[in-house]
Amino acid sequence: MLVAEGIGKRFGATVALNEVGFTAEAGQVLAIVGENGSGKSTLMRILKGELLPDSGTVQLAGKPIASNDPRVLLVHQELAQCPHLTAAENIFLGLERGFTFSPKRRILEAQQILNDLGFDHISASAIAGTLPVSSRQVLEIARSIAQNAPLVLLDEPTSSLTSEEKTKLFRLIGRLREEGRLVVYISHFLEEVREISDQVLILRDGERILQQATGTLTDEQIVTAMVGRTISEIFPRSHRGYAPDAGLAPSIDVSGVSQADGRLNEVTLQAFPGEVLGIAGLQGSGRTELLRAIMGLDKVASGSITVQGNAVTHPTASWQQRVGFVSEERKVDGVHLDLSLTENVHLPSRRGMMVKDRVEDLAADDWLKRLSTKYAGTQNRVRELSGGNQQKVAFARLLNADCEVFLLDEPTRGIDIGSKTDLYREIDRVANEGKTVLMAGSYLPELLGICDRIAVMSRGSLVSVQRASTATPESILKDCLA
Amino acid sequence: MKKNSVVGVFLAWVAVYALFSILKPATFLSLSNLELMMRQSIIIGLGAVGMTYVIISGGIDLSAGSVAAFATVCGAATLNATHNPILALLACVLAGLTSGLMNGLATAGLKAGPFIVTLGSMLAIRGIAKGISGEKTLSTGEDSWMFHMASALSPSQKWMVLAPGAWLWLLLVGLASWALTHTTFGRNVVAVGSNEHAARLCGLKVERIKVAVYSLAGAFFGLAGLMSLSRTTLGDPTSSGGDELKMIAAVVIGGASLNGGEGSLWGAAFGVLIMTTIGMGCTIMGIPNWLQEILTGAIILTAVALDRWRASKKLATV
Repeated sequence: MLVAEGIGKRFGATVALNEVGFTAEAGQVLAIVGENGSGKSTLMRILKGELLPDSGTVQLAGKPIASNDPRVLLVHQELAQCPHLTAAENIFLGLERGFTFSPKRRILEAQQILNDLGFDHISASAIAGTLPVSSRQVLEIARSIAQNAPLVLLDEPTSSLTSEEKTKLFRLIGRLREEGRLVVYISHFLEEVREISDQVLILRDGERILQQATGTLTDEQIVTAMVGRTISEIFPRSHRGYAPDAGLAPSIDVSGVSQADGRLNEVTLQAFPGEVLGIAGLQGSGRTELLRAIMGLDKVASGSITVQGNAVTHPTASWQQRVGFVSEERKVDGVHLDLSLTENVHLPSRRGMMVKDRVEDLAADDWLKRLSTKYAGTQNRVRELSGGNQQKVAFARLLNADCEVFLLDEPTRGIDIGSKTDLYREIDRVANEGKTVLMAGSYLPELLGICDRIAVMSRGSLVSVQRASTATPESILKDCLA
Repeated sequence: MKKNSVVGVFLAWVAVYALFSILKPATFLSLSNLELMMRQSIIIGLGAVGMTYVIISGGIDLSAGSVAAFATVCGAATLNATHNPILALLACVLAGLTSGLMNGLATAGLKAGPFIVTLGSMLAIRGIAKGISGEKTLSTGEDSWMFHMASALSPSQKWMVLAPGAWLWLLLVGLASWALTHTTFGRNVVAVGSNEHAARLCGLKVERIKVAVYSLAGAFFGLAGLMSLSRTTLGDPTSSGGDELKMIAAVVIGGASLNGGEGSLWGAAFGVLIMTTIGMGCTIMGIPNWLQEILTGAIILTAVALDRWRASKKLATV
């Protein structure tokens, strides 16, 4: 049994947690939900003993949590692995006892664990760095089995999993529960919370809003508790007068595009001014590759892409022709974490030789305010913002560059509902202004909620293009799996 | 936050200087000693300007010392052939610029790490300098104004306070510092060093920016060579051995991160002054060279430790 009482934690002037308390029984799955910045991750780190709370206590089975308590396993949102070691070595890293080590036996044991989990397609002798991201996430979870910890903390573990792998992960969580372990689970996805959790703990701005059995709450109630607004307000969408047969010239014209290794395979697609065209597909379906090719970030082997009537060459030219891109990998190439907000907003659109600090600051401030971004000052580093606000900075670049074409690769991945809604509202706004939005996503309610048409990709090929008004999650999913 | 770290390095230099002033007030508490210290900092100082740009862009240049030596040889040979100090001066800068351009093209073109590329050119350029000079030191044997840029001021020049080379150094540090924050090119250099992938996505021409940075740095190493030629009146292919490491050390003491994206030109300048002050102080005190090297090493490690400590405190308050 896990008992937390009166936990408070401050970072400087920011109150991350204020008098948060809850209890959870062994053999339960407790979901912690809340917007980014609500204190979930801080609470997780306190439960693991990585952080000491300023006030309050945490007890597991009657004993207080020690610093980096071995009874607790925390599976991080970001992968913490040694890419040059094998999967087996990663699973047992730090758990080795004794002086000698038998790689062969370790691989057998690791394979046994992976097979038990239903991930027998992952080879325990594979080098971790060569595995796809989703498989590496599984390795993290396999560690918890190897470590035999009574308390398992999962911080958004599904963010890089395919739906098939997600199902397997849920089965595994079910197994952990049956074994009498306590699983604490952070997720942004309400469906997941509903599917696997027994209890929900909702945090908002570092405060505990409620803790209740999951079954007794509706989605509406959960969202309202999280953000203080109702679910019908999540996908703001004006009535856009979109008619694809109006004879407009396409703003994006992709014709028979292929890339090496079948990453893209004869893709033909057109997008028109004033529409939001979604690209649905699983991880590795080619949706990111397609967007990157349209931006000129990656070369294509054959076929042609024209945007705004110009053949695509290089990202520099694309930005000059007012085509902008938001990456799904915020930390890899989405934003400059260590540069200021202003710097990030203006990087793609600087033309002259001189930089005008005052003018840039004011402009950045304007765009960021329009997106309801929360920040202390435009000269602060982007690293200091929450994920949702970082993503708004990336989006503000396109507004500042006065883009006509918005290429958005899963722009709302891993950000809180409030920030998502702000971005949806802005996407709706620019589409109304006659701009073209091409948006890849894996979260179907989102695509159905804000797109006009949805193109479905699978294994590098375009399977179908469906009207959002008539499409259903089932009809899209069927084509995703084609 | 960047300003704070420059102030920190400045105060560190003041502290070091004050320490020696207390120990040896007769020599250290004089304007002429400051003037001497500036002159002794010029070569590393000018090189550190270029090195700061390279390090901020996320790179490193190990060929700096070889390029400076190559420049002394080119400058001396040009002077001997043309007897024109202006042409000799241009030859030094051009030799540096060309070497830097090669480094930049190789780094960008081969997509190899700059450590390996400039390790190669460090050896190759030193070899070229030796080949051109016939493995000899080229003496110039004439008196020209160019040999007084870094030498002690004559009584009639006292009004200048500092040697012309020192003024040139300060001017260029100021200019480079201004360019880093106030020009698009400067901001782009920081962006590339901070996150190359994000910079590419933003449409920056990453390869071109790198080539420009290495070329610019090469020109500064050429200027460092010019100052070395000015001081010694010799085109010496074996000069400036190991100077690249002193430049890198100064840049790091000045608050730069070897991961790129961070660094300060004034910080690096004070970093150079700290190292020079320690060197001079130890010589005057009669402290042996080996102790001096230990001290410099310890200061670099302290600078890095302080920087990490500041960074961790900053993160904790976020």
